[in-house]
Amino acid sequence: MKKRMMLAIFGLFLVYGISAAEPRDLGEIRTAIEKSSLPGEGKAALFKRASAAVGTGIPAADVAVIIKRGVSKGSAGKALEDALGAAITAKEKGLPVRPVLDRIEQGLAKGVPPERIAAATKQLVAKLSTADAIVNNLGKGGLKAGEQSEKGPAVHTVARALEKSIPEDAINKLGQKSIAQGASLSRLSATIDTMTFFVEMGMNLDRASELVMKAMNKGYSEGEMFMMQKEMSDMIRDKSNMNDIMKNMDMRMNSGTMGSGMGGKGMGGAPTSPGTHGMGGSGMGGSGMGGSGMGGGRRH
Amino acid sequence: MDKDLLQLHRLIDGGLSPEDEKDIMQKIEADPRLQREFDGLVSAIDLLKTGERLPVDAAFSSEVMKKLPARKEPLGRRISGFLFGERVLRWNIASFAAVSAVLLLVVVSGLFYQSSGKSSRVADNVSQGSAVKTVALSFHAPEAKAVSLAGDFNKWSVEAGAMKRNSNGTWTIEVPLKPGVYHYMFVVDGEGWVSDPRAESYRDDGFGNKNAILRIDSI
Repeated sequence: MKKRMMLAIFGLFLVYGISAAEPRDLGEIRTAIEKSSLPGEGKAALFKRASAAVGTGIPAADVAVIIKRGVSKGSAGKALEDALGAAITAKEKGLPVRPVLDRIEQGLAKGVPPERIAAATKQLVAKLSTADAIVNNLGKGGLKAGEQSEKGPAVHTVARALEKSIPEDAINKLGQKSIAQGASLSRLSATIDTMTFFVEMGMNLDRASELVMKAMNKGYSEGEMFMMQKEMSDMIRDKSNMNDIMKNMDMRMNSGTMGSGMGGKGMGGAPTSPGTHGMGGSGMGGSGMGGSGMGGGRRH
Repeated sequence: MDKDLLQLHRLIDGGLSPEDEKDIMQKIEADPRLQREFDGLVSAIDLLKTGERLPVDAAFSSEVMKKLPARKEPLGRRISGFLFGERVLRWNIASFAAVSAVLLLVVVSGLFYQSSGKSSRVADNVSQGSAVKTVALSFHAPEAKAVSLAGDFNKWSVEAGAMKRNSNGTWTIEVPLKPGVYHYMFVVDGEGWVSDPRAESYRDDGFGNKNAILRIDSI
């Protein structure tokens, strides 16, 4: 009798264990798709693609966010399928999948048309693939690999640079410099990230490359590279023109005062409390980046 | 057993053709040995028909099998027998109640686990103590009806990071974040995506907007 009872209890736990092992988000995904206005075939195809994504190891929670956000905004099922398909490709190729998921989630949240999200996602995966090869080659060339966790962000940074049309040569030049200096992958990543930021802000590629190369020669750390970005953001807010910004940064690097603040140029960003990131009186429609402010945020 | 005896048993079982039946009946009449065997079998059948039938326990066979000496079987067959062998489960009210109670417990605990998923993630952050920093962000938008913070740390959810309005029209929020680099924007009235005008740095979001960058250094 006892044995039979034990057997019955074991069976129940087995059944519960199997059902618990199936991601609960998959149920949410199914419900969201069922409730959508997609035609029957579209629903089946989208659920199949979502299940395939989860099956490749993409977090079910992210797939659920994408599906729920997508169908709630009335997105076309095919575009969602394509976007998820790009994420599956990234996962299957061993590329960092987080930036891909982030782009889809972000695009849907911001109301970007799903067809455009799918196209941007596919382009990102292509750039990640190229970036992965660049990082691997630099590793073979002697770049300090560091921890395995450093590779994903580095590949993403290189992909972002490629998306900004920064040529592979310019990236490889920084890579070779890093190898010669015995620098780590994460430091190279910070250098490429800073160069990309300068280019995004409107700086000429040669000048951007020259500035970060100078920073490398001076042995700037990752934190100091980020400080260069912060200084540049401050100067742009101060409405300095790009020539002045470049001269100012060059001068500050030469004098070793990079990161020491704007010297009373009215940035006013005092922390709101110790250890916090302060906004210190940012204004709607004021001197924000790219016309930010009430009504200044771009809508799609 | 010789052929005639075998035919005799078949006769008793009713499994002979009329010709064979006739043939064996002639043999029984002629052979005293077959005659005795036939009479004995007929008496045994009569006895079984008239005797009292005692009820047999449903588990009689398994009890008998249990008492037989154990047969040494290969491990594979034993596992296969355990998994696929047929079993007789005897149920009563007590066992049904016990199993129901376990089932109820399992379902309730499962529901509790699912509903407490979010709060346990928050607890994880708290338990890591020094690894997490609380970051305060603010945005001045006196005419906004609602402002929220959306970023890669909350999967760009417009609903998750609702900010609180101060009397001077500044909206604030505190978020616990681990060291790392985060991308974010403010969402005004649920649809206007605005970059933080005082961010440390910015990144293109892939769709033509500039996300604000927040870098949290480890201690």
